[in-house]
Amino acid sequence: MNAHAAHPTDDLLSAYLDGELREREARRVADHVAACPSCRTDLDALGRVARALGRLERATPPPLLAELVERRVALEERRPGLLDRLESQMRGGPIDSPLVVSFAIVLTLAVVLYVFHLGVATVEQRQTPPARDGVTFEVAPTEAARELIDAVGVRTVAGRDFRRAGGGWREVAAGDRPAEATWAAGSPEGRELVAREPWLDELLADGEAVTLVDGDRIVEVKRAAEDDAPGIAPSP
Amino acid sequence: MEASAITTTAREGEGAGTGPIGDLELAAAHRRGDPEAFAEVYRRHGTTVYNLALRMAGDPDAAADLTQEVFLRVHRHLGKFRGRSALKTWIFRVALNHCRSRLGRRPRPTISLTAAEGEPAREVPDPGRGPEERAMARDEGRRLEAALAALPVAFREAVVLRDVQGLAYEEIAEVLGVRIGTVRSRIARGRDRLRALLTETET
Repeated sequence: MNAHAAHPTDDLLSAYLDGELREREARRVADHVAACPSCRTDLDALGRVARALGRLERATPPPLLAELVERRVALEERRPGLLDRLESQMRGGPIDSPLVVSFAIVLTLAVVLYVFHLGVATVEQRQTPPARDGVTFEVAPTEAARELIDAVGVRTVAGRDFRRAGGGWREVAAGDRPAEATWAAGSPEGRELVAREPWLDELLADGEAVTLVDGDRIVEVKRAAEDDAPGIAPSP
Repeated sequence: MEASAITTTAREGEGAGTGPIGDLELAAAHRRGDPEAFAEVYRRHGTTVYNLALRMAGDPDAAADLTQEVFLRVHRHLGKFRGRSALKTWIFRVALNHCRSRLGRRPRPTISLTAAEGEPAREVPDPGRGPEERAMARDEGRRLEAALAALPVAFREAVVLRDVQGLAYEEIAEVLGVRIGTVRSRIARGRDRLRALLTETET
């Protein structure tokens, strides 16, 4: 076989460099590189980049960082667990007392207005066109503001933020980008995703669909196990 | 007051050769309200998270902020850690999800690829090299940091996890929640772009 017939792709060269190829594949790349100067040059160049990155020094965190982390954690612990309780109410399904709901709304609004007043966060109020949720607040992402969002309809699962969207949840990081693929939770793609991100079950139990960032793409998983739901092929 | 299981174990570990306390035990101790558990998690992973944030954000101040926010989340959710992956993988995941959402929202610091001055270079000092070689390595470090900051986030995180943090492809796949083939391709494309960026600035 002519070794030059098929040059290995950059993916293969790079994985070869990392020792991440199976034995047979690695041997094929090694044989090709030995006989092909242009691939050898490519491999050397990739290797130089990888080695240079490996030489970047491990930075020492600023001396005060540990203390700052400790203080912020202590601050969060000291705060009476109102935000947590509100959050767990939202997690725990239907809130049985309308009084609790009214209290929560009034209190949350009061806090939002207070924060606005202090100028801690820039709160911009606008009316959404379909006015489905009434009023939308756009809050600058300060930690205080993020906690307010948590209290009024955002939840964090596995360290990822989700916002109520329609009857389901939408990952905040997904912004307004439309989903590139929609899968039923019972479809092979949906099952694979849930297997990888087991926490999705928790969100799906409490919403019809979850839209999330999966690698480069935005995907949507629907709870209803519709057998006929077409699994849209992921874009390359 | 009851002695912390974590400190007790750690002290025993020093003398008696007991292994370090495991990830699941740390999570369990955190659930029980033992403050030493979270402190231990920070001791083990704080520097790693700071470095990850530094390479993702390209700026020490942003890295310090991100590290604080990441550990606040770790503190909130540590009790729910069930050991499906190593704690390190889980923390990497929390950290990168957070970096991604934060970095997406604010403009990246503009770093000039050519005139990368000011920041001290962070290359590993090598006593065997002369001043000229060290200066070249410092320059290389600066240009590399600048080029890294110019990479798209998806490539940057894959390359950083591999070449800076030294994770295996399988671990990276787990951290990023993507297939190994995707990891392979992102690392290759990231390195290739870095190579191109560095070649551009050499001339």
